[in-house]
Amino acid sequence: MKQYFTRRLPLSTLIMVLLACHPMMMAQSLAFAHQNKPSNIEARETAPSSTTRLKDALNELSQQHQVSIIFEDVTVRGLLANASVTKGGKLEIRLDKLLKPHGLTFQKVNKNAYVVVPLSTTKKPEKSSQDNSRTNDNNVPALSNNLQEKGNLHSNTIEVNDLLVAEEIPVKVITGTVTDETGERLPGTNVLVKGTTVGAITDVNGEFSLDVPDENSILVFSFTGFLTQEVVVGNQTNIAIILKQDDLLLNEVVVVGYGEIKKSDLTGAVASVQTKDIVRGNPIIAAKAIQGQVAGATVTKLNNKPGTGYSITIRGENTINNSTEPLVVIDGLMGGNINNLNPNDIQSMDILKDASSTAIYGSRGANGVIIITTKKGVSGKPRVSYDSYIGVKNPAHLPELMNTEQFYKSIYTDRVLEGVTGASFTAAERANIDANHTTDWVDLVTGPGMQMSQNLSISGGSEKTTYRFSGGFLNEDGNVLYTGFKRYNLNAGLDSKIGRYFKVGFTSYVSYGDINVGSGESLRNAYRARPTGTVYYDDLANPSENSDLNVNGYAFWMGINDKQVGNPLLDIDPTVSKLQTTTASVISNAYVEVTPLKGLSIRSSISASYTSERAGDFRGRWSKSQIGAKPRAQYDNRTLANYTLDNIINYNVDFGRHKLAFTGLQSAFYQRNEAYSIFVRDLPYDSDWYALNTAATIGSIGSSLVERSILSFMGRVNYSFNDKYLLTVTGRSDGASQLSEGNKWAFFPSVAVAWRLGDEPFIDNLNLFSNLKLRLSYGEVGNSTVNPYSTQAGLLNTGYDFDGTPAFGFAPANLGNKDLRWERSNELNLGIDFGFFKNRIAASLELYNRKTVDLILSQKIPTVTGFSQVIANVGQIENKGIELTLRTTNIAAKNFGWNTTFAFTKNNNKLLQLYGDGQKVDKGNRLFVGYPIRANFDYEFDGIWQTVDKDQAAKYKQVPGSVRVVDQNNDGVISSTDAIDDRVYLGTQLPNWILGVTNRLNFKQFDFSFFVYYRDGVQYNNSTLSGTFGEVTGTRYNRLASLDYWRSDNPSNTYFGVAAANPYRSAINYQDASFLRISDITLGYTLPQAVMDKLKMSSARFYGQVINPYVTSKFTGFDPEFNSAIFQDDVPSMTLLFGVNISF
Amino acid sequence: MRSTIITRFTFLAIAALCLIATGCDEDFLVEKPVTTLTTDVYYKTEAGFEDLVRSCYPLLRNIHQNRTLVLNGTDIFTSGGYGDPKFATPTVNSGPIEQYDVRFNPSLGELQSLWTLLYTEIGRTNTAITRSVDITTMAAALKDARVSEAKFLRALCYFISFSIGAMSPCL
Repeated sequence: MKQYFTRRLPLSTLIMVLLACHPMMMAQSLAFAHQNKPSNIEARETAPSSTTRLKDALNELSQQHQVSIIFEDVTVRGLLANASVTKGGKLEIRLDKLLKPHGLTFQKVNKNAYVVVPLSTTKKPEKSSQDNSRTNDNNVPALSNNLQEKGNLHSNTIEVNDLLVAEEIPVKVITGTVTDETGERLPGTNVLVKGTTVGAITDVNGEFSLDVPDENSILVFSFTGFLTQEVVVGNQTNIAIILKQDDLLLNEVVVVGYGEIKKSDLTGAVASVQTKDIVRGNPIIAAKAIQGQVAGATVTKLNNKPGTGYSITIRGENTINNSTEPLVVIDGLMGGNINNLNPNDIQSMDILKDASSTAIYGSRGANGVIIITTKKGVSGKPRVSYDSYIGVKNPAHLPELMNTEQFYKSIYTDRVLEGVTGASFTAAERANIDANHTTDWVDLVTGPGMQMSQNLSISGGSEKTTYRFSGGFLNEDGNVLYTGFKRYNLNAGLDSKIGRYFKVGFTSYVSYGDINVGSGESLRNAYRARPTGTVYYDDLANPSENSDLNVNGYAFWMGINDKQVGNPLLDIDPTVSKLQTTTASVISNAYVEVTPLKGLSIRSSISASYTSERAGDFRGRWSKSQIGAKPRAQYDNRTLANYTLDNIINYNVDFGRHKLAFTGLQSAFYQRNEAYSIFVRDLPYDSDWYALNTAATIGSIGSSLVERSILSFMGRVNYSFNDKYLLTVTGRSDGASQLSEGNKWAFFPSVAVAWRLGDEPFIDNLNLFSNLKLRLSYGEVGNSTVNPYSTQAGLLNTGYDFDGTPAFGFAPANLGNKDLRWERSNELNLGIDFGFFKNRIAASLELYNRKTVDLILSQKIPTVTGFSQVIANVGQIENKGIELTLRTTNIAAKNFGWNTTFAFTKNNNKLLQLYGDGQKVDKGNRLFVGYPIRANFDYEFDGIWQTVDKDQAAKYKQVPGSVRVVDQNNDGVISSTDAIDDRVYLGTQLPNWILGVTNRLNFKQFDFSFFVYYRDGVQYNNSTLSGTFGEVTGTRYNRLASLDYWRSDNPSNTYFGVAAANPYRSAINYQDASFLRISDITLGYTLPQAVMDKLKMSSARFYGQVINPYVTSKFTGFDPEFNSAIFQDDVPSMTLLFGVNISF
Repeated sequence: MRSTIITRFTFLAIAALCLIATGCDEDFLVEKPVTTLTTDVYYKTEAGFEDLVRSCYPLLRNIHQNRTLVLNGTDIFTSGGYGDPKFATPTVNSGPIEQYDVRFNPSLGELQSLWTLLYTEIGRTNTAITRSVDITTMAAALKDARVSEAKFLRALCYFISFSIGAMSPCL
């Protein structure tokens, strides 16, 4: 009967051990022969018929007990057995009786197998060879010969290759568990006895069991992504190992388009943000996690309203009139919306930056690609994890407005000082001025808000099937009262291996978001309303003076003689103003993967999403928009449905030093956008938008459908030679419906090479670099900016009448350009990855030069064609830059660790060509060849005209106190006429460079981290200053208190005065919006392992976090990150959170 | 064993082909605008052609509103104060349009706007005339009437541009 052992070790072990054993056994048996001959004879004499050879006795035992007894021929040669011993009794006792007289013993290796070994302890192989030479016995056959002659090696029908031979005299069996720092078990960890090939792999519970030869054995634990650990066995029998994550991850796997690649095999520029870095700062929207953590990505907040997304640009802006947003791929679905995802459900965001990585996305890759992979199940017992936080969000960093005293001074006292009439006040206002009472409207309409998030997830599975379910709830209140954002997520995913060849799986992600931002005007009203106003009607001194109205107890006109701005407290009331957007979206993905042959896999996956966004806008009677008129309402319903069907073939082949990986793809994409809208006026009662039929007037109704589709074929070849020289070639062909017939297909190729210099001997010998890799790539990608139906000419509705009979017609609205094609970017990227001091300093430097041609702009054509312009591919933009990602482990001591990540981005944007006819300047659109796009073009601010320069000011027809601008051509006239234009290029809204620094420290059970973000070089035309909030010459509204405005007795040079006429006021609005923010300061405490074992939890962490405590900038306004006009916005805030992460 | 692999592979190949085949739908990349009509789609229909011809009229209003060029210089219209003995000092430099001096050149704003309007109108009429070839369902007499309307309007535009002294290319 064939017996197989459960664990198999290679033949080499057998050889090694036998090598160890054999000569000694030989020596022993020889020695024994000398010593024990008498006893042998003794045995012969005492036994009645004891001429049985030991060999035969052992074989008989083996047959009787149905076990295998293994021994070497030379061991038992010439030895005799006591025949009486072979009769009856327990096997082991009999074996012992048989062998002990000969100085032998047995070792049980298995339930059914025993090996006959001598009684001595293990000696090192070298020593045994010395033994060999000492004995100098020519009778000892070479071990290898012995094994080759199978007959010599006695075994009970056991194949040599299947043998497990344990170590000579194993001392102990070691068991243990392997976990990571959070307490999660790590199945699949390699446990090796150092210096041997003896080892094991941890099972699904992270447990292992291993036999070690002695106490001095060293166990080596290794797992991908974690730092290898070595532990001396000592006198432990049970070892619990905690592996630390390898932050400087060279074996890390990054997701590139349609596949994954080890980071060391990467040839393009790809940055990866893993889940622990995504959730560290508790972002509301996942895009915020990219800010300052990915070099090359510029992420900017759109506004402060709750639930608002971010604008992301990767490697600068490549287009003028179209979207610069990167393509977002969520689990294979193209064009997903990152705002609908719960950051806790994201496993990794991989950002493809250079053209060679994005070329496999063809016509949609020019703005970069963000690949989002959601979390999937991990096999093992079910793991439940609960992450939640609760916190308070307070208004912070607000610009101050003037109080009553300052306000009165600026609109009355100082005006009189300058010789103009001061403003007038009502009796109610006078009462407030005399009492020095300030109504802080901003404080009245804002308040602290609650921010809370709850997430629960369960994942687990067997070796074949894994699952993950999760649910989450987020509530972010706005600081303006009665505004807020709620988001609910539900996620389910399953992956299963069926049989030997098939793998199937699905994920489905459901999300529902509800944003309510009240009225777009409330905040602006609060910033405009005079501080001398009165809140309640009953407090008014003389209500009829300004025809004030009592609405719900509030004074509608605040006691001010103005009919533009109503009481902000009325506007925020949800029964008066409501602007609510609910977004329901479902993203789902299902796939089938077949691996018919080794290295070949065919995968077919379909991803689909359906999003329905409904926006309702209700403005009641007493909102700023209606002011006593009947309410109006508008309802919009926008749906987006799309699907992506991918058929992918992957084939990997290994010829020794050559490795080839081939990927082929056929893909189809279809998207459908529908929009419906209705706007009505004169609603009889407050019904939000749920009774549109009662409206007296229908303002407008409309609907539209836009469809688009893309068909693609893609091929990619990854070749590596000797694991040192890498080559990637890709090509993708996209056919799109937006392009006209005969012009639908476009081809995008790319090529990339990489050289692992660190593996070359000449670099290795320098002992300077722990890692050095050079990458060079070139690719062409497209920007899918041709709008659907834009290659066709649209129609324009015209009206006329023939003798009173209406004669409507349709004229051609524009010229269709059938040759319209994608904007195309060609990019050359040079990347260097290097590491020092065993990768304690790991860095990645990218240098790139990207030229985008065929920009879609309106090209002017001669008017004799009947049209003045046509949409055409003219225009070229260049983006050049440097990106540096640096990870340093500053301190890695036993109980204290500190590591830092730097992400530096610098990009220079330049417009190379405009309309193809040599035109270099387009002032109307602020486009200048040789300068960046998004330029600011205006007069240059030169201070304020002072009293001493009165005469010079008069030459320019200006008076002291007004804004002075530079007369660029010194012609004595400030003018904007073409030839003598004094306006110049002032700056750009694109950043110059960005630096994000994340610091993580840990000390025993505590962890501390914070994030520093600096953006340099953005210049905004400050919308806060250019609005009424900076208009000191007006008398109607309140204004910013920080303005040091000019007065005859205060020769300020920074802001203009209250009385002077200001034709060039706009020059003062251009400000540098560079800012520094320190944020996400987190202090956490993880419960010790002992406590968690008692509570049967696998990890528990509590933390406190402060978000946005510190911002500094020279920018006068709301928030230097974006240019706020305080319209449809919310105030900046600071959030204080307390949260827990628990997992079972 | 080998035959099962071959069988499975064959099935898979067929399955893969089916998947690819569905993507090769010829109509998959064809655009069909629904919300906005386009010229190619609409003008091929009879209703579209009629609408096109009707759209050639409204611009006449805009053209004639350029009264400084179209109506001035006649006995009915002239710019105020020029050569009228009622006014104390008749201004000599009353404008290039009255004086026909060197300032009456293409940089003159009124000339540019009228020129643009005239050629937009000429463009529409030309569109109507060339599109008429594709219309097959209309009665011949009606179609001829419409085409001649377009031709007349085109001629009117050329006449106006000629009468203000512009060197207008005939398109």
